[in-house]
Amino acid sequence: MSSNLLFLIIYTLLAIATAGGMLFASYLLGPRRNRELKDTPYECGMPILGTARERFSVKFYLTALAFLLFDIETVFLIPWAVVYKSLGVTGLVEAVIFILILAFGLYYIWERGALEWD
Amino acid sequence: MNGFDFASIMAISPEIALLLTAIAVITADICIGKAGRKCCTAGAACKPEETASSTEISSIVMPFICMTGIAISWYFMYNLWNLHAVNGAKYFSNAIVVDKFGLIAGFVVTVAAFLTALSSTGYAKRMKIDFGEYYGLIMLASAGMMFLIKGNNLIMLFLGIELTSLSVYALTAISKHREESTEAAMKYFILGAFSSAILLFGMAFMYGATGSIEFGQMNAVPTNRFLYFIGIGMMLLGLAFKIGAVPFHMWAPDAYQAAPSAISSFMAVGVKTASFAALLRLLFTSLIHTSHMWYQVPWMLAVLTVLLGNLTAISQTNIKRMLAYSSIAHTGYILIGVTACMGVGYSTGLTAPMSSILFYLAVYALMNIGAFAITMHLGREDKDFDEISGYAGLAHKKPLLALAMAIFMFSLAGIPPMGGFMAKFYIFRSAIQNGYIWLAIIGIIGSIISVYYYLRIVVLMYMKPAQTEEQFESDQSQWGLHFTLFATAAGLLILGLLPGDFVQYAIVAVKELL
Repeated sequence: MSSNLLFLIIYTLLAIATAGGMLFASYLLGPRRNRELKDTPYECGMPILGTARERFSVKFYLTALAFLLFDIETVFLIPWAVVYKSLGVTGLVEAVIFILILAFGLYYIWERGALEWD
Repeated sequence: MNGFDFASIMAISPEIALLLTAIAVITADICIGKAGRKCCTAGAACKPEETASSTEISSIVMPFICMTGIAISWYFMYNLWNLHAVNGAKYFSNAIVVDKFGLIAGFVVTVAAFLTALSSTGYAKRMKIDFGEYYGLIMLASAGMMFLIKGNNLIMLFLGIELTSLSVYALTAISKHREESTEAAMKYFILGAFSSAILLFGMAFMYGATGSIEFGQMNAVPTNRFLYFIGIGMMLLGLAFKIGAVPFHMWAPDAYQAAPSAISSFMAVGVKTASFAALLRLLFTSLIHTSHMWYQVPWMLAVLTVLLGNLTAISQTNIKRMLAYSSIAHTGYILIGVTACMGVGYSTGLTAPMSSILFYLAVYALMNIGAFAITMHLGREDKDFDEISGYAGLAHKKPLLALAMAIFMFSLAGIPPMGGFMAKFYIFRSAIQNGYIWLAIIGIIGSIISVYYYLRIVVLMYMKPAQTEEQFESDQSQWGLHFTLFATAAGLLILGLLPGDFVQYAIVAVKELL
């Protein structure tokens, strides 16, 4: 066994012992006052308003989908911009086609009213 | 050829035509349907006659844009067919291959899309699904199928499958007001996403084992057999899901029953043809040299699919569900053809089974579209005519329609002189020639079982009285469906009586692939 691995094992054991020791200490020493407030998800935060499984408007999904589309556009265009010069006219044409398709998508969701909130 | 040159553009010109058609049809919907849609959302403040006229126009214009686009893509395919005396030219860093095999399979797929658009002329409006998205998604799905057929590496294969599947999931759910439609689409989507993931994982294993993702480059002797066979297994699983082979078929009956009939037939025909074409291309460019070690897998799949598909179809009372199980059974027959190619190595022994698979796919497309078109023709309001018992007495009220249905049923059952008989004949013959006699026998047993549930409908139509007087009156404009029914029935008779020409084309196409 190499000494590097030994150090790693000692380190792991120490980490487990420290974390476990802290948890155990708080279990031993901590006061126990059980109240209803203790069981809420955010003990020191906002009071809970209803359940998490509420229906919410489909408009959020539409906005998220449109966002995703243009997010991906950035993901594609940034690498393209980096190697823009070496790709030459071919790269430019391809990028323009790509942007035109996305622009059509924007026109489509716009006309269909997906960007209107009311 | 790695560039962006004219030849590469021409190589994918049919697909470009389909994609531009998708964009055009959605634009047309936005421009024409605008007035109607605004009225619908604004509620009371609209003139009903204005709404009616604008949707009237768009429900005629949109299918015509689709059909024009497909006709243009046929023109490009015809050019490519004549252009490529050079077989199997590859483009885009070998990602796309143009050969006659791909062109024939692509033609079958686009014919299915064409007939779907044609039969949707009155149907989509009646089902309240005449949005631009309906036609746009059909076009996108066909473009995906074409890419799937033409793909020459695993990435293109996956992209094609995903473009096809995502469009088809959405099309299954297109009747937004019907609960079962949404439910079936959700099932289909979740199972389909799983199978896509498994397919992708299998591709990763294949890449690990062979060091390439390109078809034709993967047939080096695998250095790591474990990885290699896990890869083959997972890829087969993913594709078996797409073609609906038992035991990966559970999505099919629900999806086919809940989707509008036009979509059910497009789904059954298009996805199946494209996936089988991709499976064959993958098999015969990359996997055939090891197939003697794992041909038992498709053998078992074929047997299970034929028997379970046919036996379950017997007990169905809904004709769309029955056709779904029958489509599973037909997947089984085609898998018999696939298995017949295996274990014989590269030889002339491959030509017969592969060309017979192409022939089968073409015949299957016609008879399935025809049978689903009948359920569309007789349907009323936003329902398809899908109760089997409802067909009683059809021959006395609408003799021509009953005759067409009888032709489709006889063809599905494989009774001469319909195309279905020749298709089954070629498949079973090639299985026997290559030594899979038991497989052929099981296939024949399966088709004998199938005669029962297909002919039950013919018996109902011709020998039973109608339940009520007016049940066969339909309330839609029917000329698109009439044309579809005529074209499919005539095509089946022609392919059944004179199969030689198409088989010759198929043999030419397959010889290029080998």
